[in-house]
Amino acid sequence: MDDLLSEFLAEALEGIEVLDAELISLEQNPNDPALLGSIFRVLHTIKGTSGFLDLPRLESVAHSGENILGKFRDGELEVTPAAVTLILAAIDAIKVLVTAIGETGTEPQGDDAELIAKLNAWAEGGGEAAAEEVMETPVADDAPAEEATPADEGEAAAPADADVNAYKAIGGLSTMDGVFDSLYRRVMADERLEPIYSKGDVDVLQIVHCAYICEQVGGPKADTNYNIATVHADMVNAGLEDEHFDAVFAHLAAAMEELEIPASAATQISEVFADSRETILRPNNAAPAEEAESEAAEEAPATDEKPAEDEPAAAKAAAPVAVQTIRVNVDVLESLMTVVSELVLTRNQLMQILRDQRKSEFDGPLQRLNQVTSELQESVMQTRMQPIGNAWGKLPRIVRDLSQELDKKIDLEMVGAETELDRQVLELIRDPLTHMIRNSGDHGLETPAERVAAGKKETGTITLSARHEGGHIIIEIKDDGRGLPVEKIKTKAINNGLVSEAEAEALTDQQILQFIFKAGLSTAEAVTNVSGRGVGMDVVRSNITKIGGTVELQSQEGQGTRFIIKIPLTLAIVSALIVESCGERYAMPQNSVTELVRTTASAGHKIENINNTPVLRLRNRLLPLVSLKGMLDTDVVSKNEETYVIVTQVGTFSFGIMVDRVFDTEEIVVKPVARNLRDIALFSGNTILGDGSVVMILDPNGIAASSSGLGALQGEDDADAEAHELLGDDKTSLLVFRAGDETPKAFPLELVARIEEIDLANIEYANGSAMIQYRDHLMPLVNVDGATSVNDNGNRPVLVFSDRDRSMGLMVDEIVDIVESAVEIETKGAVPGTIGSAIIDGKATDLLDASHYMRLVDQNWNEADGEVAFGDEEKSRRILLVDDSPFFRNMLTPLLRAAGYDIETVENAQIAMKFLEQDANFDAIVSDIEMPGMNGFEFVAALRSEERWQNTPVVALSSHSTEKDIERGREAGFDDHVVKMDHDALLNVLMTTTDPARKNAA
Amino acid sequence: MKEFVTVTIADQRFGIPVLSVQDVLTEQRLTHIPLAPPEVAGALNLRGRTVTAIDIRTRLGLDPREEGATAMNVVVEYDGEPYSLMVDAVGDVMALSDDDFEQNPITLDQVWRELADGLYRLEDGLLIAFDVSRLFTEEIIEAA
Repeated sequence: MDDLLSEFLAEALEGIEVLDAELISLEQNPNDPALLGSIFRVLHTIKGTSGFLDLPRLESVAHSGENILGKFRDGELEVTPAAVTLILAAIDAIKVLVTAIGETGTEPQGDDAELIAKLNAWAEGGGEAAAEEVMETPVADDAPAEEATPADEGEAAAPADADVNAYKAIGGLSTMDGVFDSLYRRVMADERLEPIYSKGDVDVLQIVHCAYICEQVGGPKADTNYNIATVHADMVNAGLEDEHFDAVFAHLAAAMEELEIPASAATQISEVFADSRETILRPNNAAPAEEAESEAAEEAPATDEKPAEDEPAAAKAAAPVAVQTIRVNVDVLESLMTVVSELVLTRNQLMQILRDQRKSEFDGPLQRLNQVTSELQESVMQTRMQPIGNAWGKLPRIVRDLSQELDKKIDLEMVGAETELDRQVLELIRDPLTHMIRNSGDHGLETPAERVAAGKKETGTITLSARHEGGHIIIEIKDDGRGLPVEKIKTKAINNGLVSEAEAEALTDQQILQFIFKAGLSTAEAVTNVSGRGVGMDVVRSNITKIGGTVELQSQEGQGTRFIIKIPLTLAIVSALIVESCGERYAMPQNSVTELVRTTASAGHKIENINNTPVLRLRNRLLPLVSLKGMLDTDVVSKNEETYVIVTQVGTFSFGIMVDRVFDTEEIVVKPVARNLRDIALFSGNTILGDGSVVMILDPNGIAASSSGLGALQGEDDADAEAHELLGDDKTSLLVFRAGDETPKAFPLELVARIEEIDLANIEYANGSAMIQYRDHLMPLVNVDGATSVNDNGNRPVLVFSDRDRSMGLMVDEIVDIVESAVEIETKGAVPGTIGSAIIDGKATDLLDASHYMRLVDQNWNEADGEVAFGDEEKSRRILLVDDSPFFRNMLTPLLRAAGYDIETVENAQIAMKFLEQDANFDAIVSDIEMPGMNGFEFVAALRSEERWQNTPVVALSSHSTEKDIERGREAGFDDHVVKMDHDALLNVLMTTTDPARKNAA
Repeated sequence: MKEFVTVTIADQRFGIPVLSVQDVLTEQRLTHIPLAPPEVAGALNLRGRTVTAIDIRTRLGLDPREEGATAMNVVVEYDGEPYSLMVDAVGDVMALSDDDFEQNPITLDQVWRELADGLYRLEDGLLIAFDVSRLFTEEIIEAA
């Protein structure tokens, strides 16, 4: 393929890209002449060049499309959606042809007669009906259209106003173009003229000349940036004389004859042409004429701007603001980038050496090298930066097609198209973005009828926005559609085996939504042409993750969906903080680091532990911490006094990473890790530091995902909520399920050891009770109504309760959900096995008593347990539990009973005091701290003031436990302090405090 | 005739096809990679490229090198990525005749059999021909 052709193809594709978008905006602003002019010119250039390169199919399609555009421009045809559709069809055809030519170097075989006939019929003013008619009687004519149509048009229009306006008579600009096409082909074929004309830019000349003549014979005003004399300047300099002009004149006559221009119009054109002789050949003498012309030019509104690459030298002066650009092969830029990356590295190494030497003669030059390298790096980066709008160019077209195809009304709003990002990144997000927009349009938005029914505007809106934030670009895709159907996704995920039913029940809505990023999961019920093929969001996510980005998802059923994509501006060089943990150094990308905190054991910021979970108080908030050491599973023990905490932001979620040391920041070149290490989520790559050593680059996303508990919280919790989570708050996790009847039932999740699914066929009977082999033991099974036999088939979920080495299973019908809820027990349940009822998730729910079922399957559960747990204890210990929350009283009672204690409960301290007056025989007292009236501290102080309670162990039970609280509790007289939800700790504490022997040992 | 770089691991001679060898390096400073598969000894810097070092001893299920014993690095490229094979010692390049080639004895340890292309009978012993690509078979790639 020769250079000319490939140049043309590149230009044509670029032009078509723009056309798509421009036509859509034309549809919305039909009266924008600048837009129309620009669209027309792109198509015209394609037509002109393809004629020149002998690509007849391309030429004829482009020409027919141009015909319609010409009529739009002249106001003869109205811009309607149907017409735009037709032109888009023509552009599609051109695209196909151009692509085919790009592949094979020649035009593919084929026939565009139908399309051309349709276009021509439209151009002749028939509108839709005419085009349809042509459809029915296709014209079997694949001759270049410009030969046939202008003649037809000419004849049709000529009788009306031939003498008044030659321009209209011949069928407007399109015909005139045909004439000038033909004329300049003849000129360039003429051996007398060719040497002269080839000195200048004939393409431009042809367009300008044509526009000039059109203006003279009654057409629209020509482009102000050009005049007929300046475009001929090169030819005049090359020796264009009268005799040549005569020859051109003769060619014009021939060209008009070829296109069968009506005689009256031909005469008019010839006259005008002859009149331009002086202006062209002797522009200086013809100054007055030119002045008039430029005056006219000033009056005429600037119709548009020429693309910079088409700017001929002669016209440069007229448009000094035009940006100069050249085309550069991307590979060249890429290799430039690589070289610069290496240069940056070498610079860093040199700087490192320099830092170690106090004074050196290299100081000055190195400093300059440093500066120049930085500038070079910046400039090279700049060459790679492109506005994100380049990746959006096709989207309006896609959305338009979508809305027609799906019969939906869709508005696409694009904000921040000028936001720049790295070309490589841009390429990689182009497809994911397109896919996501399709998704939003296809199953995000509802049909107009559904929208109206839901009380929304008929037209759905998809908003695409981009902005810079730190070293990232944030792209948001938002629709105001129906939102993601959580239930449907859940069902689908279960059906596809991505998650078991029981597991799914344990997931939050946010976690379930994440399933749309898994392969093979499409929520579209029907596979449309557009989406729903089950490929997509997984690819989207993997593409985005590949470039170090993240996708977040927010969805509200009925309100819409929002995807937030965060991607780094560039991939090649990042600024990183070098940290040390266990004697190894790691690089932490700086854009995810929000601050550094130095902590010491003695002063200032101090790391505190809750049940071995480290947290840091930072400006009155609790920051969850992860230890890099722990994450990396290294067994090197370092005992340093101080620890640094890197406060890291992943999405909207903050956490701290504990490291041993922090060095300075360095610009690093990210290198991919070897294939066999790619599964390690903690690392995003490796790099070579200034001193030549290899370090691994930490991936904050990976760290967040790998540290238990942090991953799921990503993007939904802020540090505040997180702190609550860690401290344990008033809410309880409840496992809600159905069994027996329709009333939802619940257990505190903590009581349930596991949820299993069993095949009922595997149930065996021993001693008349249902059993199943479970982990090498027989596990008794019981139904919620207490029955132990089963007459059903299939699989059933089973809640497994474990106590030390024994287990039992409670068969239920269906796991409904796991909810976080503050539980207020409303009524005391009369039914054995229930604690009471509560409103959970808006529904009345029975709270069940686990100990009831435990006793049901094993009469000796308590006693046996007591023996196991407490050895030779004969008398069970009596405990008084003081707590104002009925839920906790109800929850702890069965738990403590199951552990072999005899327990009495009261709901506040005053009652407790009275109770103790009458019945003092308790081995220990367990008391809440926050209670109405007398609080726990006052209660224990009151107890301790009386002699007989001096030595009774009193354990504080609290939902908040900081060192300070514990200290205060000790001072008040508590023996120990337990976090409310931590049953094991409570049991341990009771075990030691109620057993004098153990107490002494401890 | 095939040419091999001979290396020694635990007194056993192995051959690595000479065409796949890019560099031979002495003991290098390694960066430990936590969480990596056990045979990944670390990463090293070879003229600006990061090379993943694989300890062949671990790969073959042998005891680790004695304290203080140095390891040699034979750098090979697999699937566009450089890997360094850590061995005890590097010998010379030998051209071996196909006549002396034998299939792996079927009694050979499974792990060894996977990595070895076959054996060459030499005058002073046997040489196991490494199939470099098999060092990076699924097990190791997926092991992470």
